[in-house]
Amino acid sequence: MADMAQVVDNLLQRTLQNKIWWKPTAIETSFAAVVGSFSAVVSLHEHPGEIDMEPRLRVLDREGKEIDRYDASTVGASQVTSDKLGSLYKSARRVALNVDQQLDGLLGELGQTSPH
Amino acid sequence: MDFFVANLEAVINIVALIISAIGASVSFAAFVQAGKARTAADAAKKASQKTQDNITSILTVVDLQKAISALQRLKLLHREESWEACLENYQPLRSMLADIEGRQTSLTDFQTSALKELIPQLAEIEVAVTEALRGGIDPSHVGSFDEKLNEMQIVLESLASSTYFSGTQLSN
Repeated sequence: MADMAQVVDNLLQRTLQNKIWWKPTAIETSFAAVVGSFSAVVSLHEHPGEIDMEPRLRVLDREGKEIDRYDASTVGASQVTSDKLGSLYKSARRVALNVDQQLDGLLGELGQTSPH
Repeated sequence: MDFFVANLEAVINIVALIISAIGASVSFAAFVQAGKARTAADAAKKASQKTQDNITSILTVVDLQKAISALQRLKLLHREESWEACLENYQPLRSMLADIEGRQTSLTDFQTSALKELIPQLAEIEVAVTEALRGGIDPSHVGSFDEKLNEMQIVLESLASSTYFSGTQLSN
């Protein structure tokens, strides 16, 4: 039976292979991607009793209705999958905000600037 | 008469040759006619397909215009901070976008992807508003909703105009 841990793992692998194009959403800490007939939204959200924000993954059907979600409070959530979800959030953010290209641009600018 | 009797075989051959020539002419005429009919059938088929494509394009533009109107209504509700009314309007608009994406065939793959991307964007606004209201937070402070809804409207308007113009080109 397929589970969300597998979904997290697959999304992370495909994101690292630049095969999923995450996009920014109206929420600063949330990024969405279309995968075939489905969508995935990875975000940071507050968890009761926790100071730090935790990553959450929601999987949506073709009409945008939530099929399933995964976060640290999910029953049977493992530390390994939670760590992968954290990596997925960071990777999705880098893709959505073009972080790598922007840093390359910055390095290019820095390379052209002569030291005083 | 004696001549005919003496050359009966030759006369029969000549008559047979004439009959064969007439038969061949009739067959050739029928062949040419069938070719013309086939060309006419192909032209009719192409014309029918063109009309069908035009109708599909027009229907897509109409559906996209309906979605744009629904989005404008949603933007107004956001501006008025009528959050409960907003919550009633997200799902119908999501379904409308999914219907357009699933039904029509006049959009390119790139345009279809752009349309599909709007659905999770809208769903995320819906979740953010729902969770803010549940937590007693003013949803207007949670995200840049107006900016995103404006972006979505630009995408829909661009899809509608490109579909309209591709339909116009088809009809010319």
